[in-house]
Amino acid sequence: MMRTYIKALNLSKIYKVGEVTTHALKEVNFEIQEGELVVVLGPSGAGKTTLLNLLGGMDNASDGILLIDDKDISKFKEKQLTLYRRHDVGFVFQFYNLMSNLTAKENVELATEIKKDALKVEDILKLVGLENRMHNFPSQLSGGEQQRVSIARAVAKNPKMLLCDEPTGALDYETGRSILKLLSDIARNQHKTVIIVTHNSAIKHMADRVIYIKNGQIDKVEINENPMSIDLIEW
Amino acid sequence: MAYIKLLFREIKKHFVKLITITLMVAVGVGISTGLGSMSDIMDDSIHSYYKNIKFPDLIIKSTSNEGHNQAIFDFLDNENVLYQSYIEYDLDTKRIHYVNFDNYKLIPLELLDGNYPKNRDEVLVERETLRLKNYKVGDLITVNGVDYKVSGIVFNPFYFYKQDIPSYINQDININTILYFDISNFEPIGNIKTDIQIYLDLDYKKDYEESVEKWIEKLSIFENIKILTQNEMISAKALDMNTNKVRMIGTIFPIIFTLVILIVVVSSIESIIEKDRLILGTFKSLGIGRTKIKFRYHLIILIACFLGGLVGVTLGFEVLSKFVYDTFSTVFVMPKIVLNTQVEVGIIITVIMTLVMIITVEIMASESLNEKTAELLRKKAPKPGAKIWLEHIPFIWNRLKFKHKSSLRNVFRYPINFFMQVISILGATALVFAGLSLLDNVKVLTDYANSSIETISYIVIVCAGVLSILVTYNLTNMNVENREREIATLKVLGYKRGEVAMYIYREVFIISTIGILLGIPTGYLIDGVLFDYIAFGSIEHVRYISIFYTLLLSYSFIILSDILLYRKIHQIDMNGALKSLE
Repeated sequence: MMRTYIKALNLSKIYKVGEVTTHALKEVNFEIQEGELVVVLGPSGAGKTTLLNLLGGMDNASDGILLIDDKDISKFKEKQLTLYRRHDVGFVFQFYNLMSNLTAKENVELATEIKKDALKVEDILKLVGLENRMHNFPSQLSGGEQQRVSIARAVAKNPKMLLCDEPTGALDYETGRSILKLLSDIARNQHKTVIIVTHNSAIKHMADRVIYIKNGQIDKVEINENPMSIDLIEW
Repeated sequence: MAYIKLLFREIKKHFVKLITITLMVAVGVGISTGLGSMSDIMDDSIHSYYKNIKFPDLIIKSTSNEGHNQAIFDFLDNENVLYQSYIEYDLDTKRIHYVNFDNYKLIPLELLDGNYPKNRDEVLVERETLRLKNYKVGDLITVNGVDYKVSGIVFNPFYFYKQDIPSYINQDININTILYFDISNFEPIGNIKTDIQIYLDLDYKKDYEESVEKWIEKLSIFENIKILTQNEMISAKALDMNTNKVRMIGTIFPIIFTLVILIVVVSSIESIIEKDRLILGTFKSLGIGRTKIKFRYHLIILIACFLGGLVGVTLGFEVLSKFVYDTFSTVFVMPKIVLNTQVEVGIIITVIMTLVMIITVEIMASESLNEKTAELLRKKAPKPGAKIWLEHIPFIWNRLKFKHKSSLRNVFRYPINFFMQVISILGATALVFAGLSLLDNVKVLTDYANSSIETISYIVIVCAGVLSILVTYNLTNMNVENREREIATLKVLGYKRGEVAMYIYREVFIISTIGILLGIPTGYLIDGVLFDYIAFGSIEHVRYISIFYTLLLSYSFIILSDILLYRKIHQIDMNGALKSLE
């Protein structure tokens, strides 16, 4: 039985820099079901990063409601937001953000250290296909391998949701595909809600739900009844 | 115009570093000016005073019971030398002078209270000091069974030293009363003159010793005399010893301070340039000349050194010098300070610091600018992570917690940075400890130079403390600035405020602890050299509690820096983790 995992109601974000006011998000409304693979699409400057910040608990909304797992995180204070990020969100960065002086395994441990019901690090590294590389430092890994470590770090916390910021942005075509495959496998097999924020519209076919964002507003939302396997998508 | 704007923005961007560099230069220049010029100020002040009151350069004491032979007076008259003769002898703890109150040719008595004796049963008494007894006008003093009434209290500049005055007869006896009778009181009256004070009107800066030596040679034709030079007159001798120790301490400490500060400042500049790679690359790609690019840093350095030098020289000269000078009045009657603006030391130190920093910029910036522009525009790949030596000792390594392993790897990752950081903490700690050790010795030893060393300890401790705070703050700040991205990532991962801060603090703590622990033995080394050099004090007198105080101070400074930088860590924007590597 699917249930609504995320619900945004008239969500707005206004930045004020001096006398300049920017409406980064204007009364946005959308829903995301639990376990869905979602692609948020939009050109740069459309408000993707702002939405990512709000979903990731890195910033507060100026107005509106953001229900995640039945809690309105838009009203969270800093401490609550920290705990939300710690327990409920796994973050995958465009540039991996690995600690260069920690091995692959230790980078994953950086996340599991602060979570009680974290998954076994070795298991997760096996899941992302790095069981033989776990004692290597980031500099000894390829870009794709580094992104796998980053995904492993996000998954290992056993969060309900993975938030991915342009996860293939720094990778070549083939490697990017393999990373997207991994993310979709995680959504399908681990039943995580996976949100991918990107400007690459080709990957929308693999998503259950595509949210188009433009000028700080939701342009449209598409539901794919039959999402394509990444193997069949070309761009 | 845009270039000027950019320069200003540059200064704003590196404001905290600019301020810390300025303050460090100020500490170095301040202590160098204050302590380095102190002995010259003392010499100038005291010798101008000596000239004013015509303080004797030589005293000829007669070793015969008959006093001086007339021939010596004839000789002195013939040489046209300014002198005065009197009778002086010690009686137990009393020193008795017979002088001609009406005719001072040099070093006049200064009447502080009462009057000159009018009758034969009246006497003048030297004023109270730390060793001389307190008398009042009207008191009775018994000499050889006869009572004399105190008619006045005087100050004889000859005794400007307030401490021990050893008896001529027995060095172990201290004089506690000095009496002045009119020469006509002396019985048997005659031509007996036991002492002659001679004023030679020499310039102490120009061959003083040689000139005095010549006079001693000339006088050596006379028999039954003993010649005392200034160095054998207790007050002058005590002051001279003080001045010498001040001179030595004033040489050693500024050198160590300057070295430590240079290490810190150089590593600071390195980190600024390292951080600016992208900007250097952009400028280079725009075709801006090297000199113009480097000028950005030279400007920061010149501002920091100019302001630091100015503040340092002013504070060192106006505050530190005067303060040290004033504390001498606890044991000396100090004349008015003569400040012949002794700023050479400060200026030299400022220039040295400026040059070293400019050279650092030249080397570091040129090194960066020599890279291909494209290379520069890419962020220098972080040094690959690597195993550290400790990992080869599984016995220890396997027992460490994950976060400690991570910190240790970070600490040892950049050996040169690590070395510089440890050295700077080490230096600051060693200086604090050396200051405390000096103070410990002052408490145990009695020495003519005690007072000067006591004051200088305090000041060394204070300056070393300030330096230590700056060094620790700078180290923590550099650690925060170089880790902004990592900090942002940790925040996104859900690390709590305290946990994020500890990530930085733990490393600073490890580096500082190594520096502090090595700093104490280094402090002992400095002590060894210092005590030997100034011929004062011994390591044996250094109390163990001083180690404790040093640790306490050093760790307090670390905690203080941590508190000051907590906000900065907290304010780092999580969005930094999303951006590309620039």
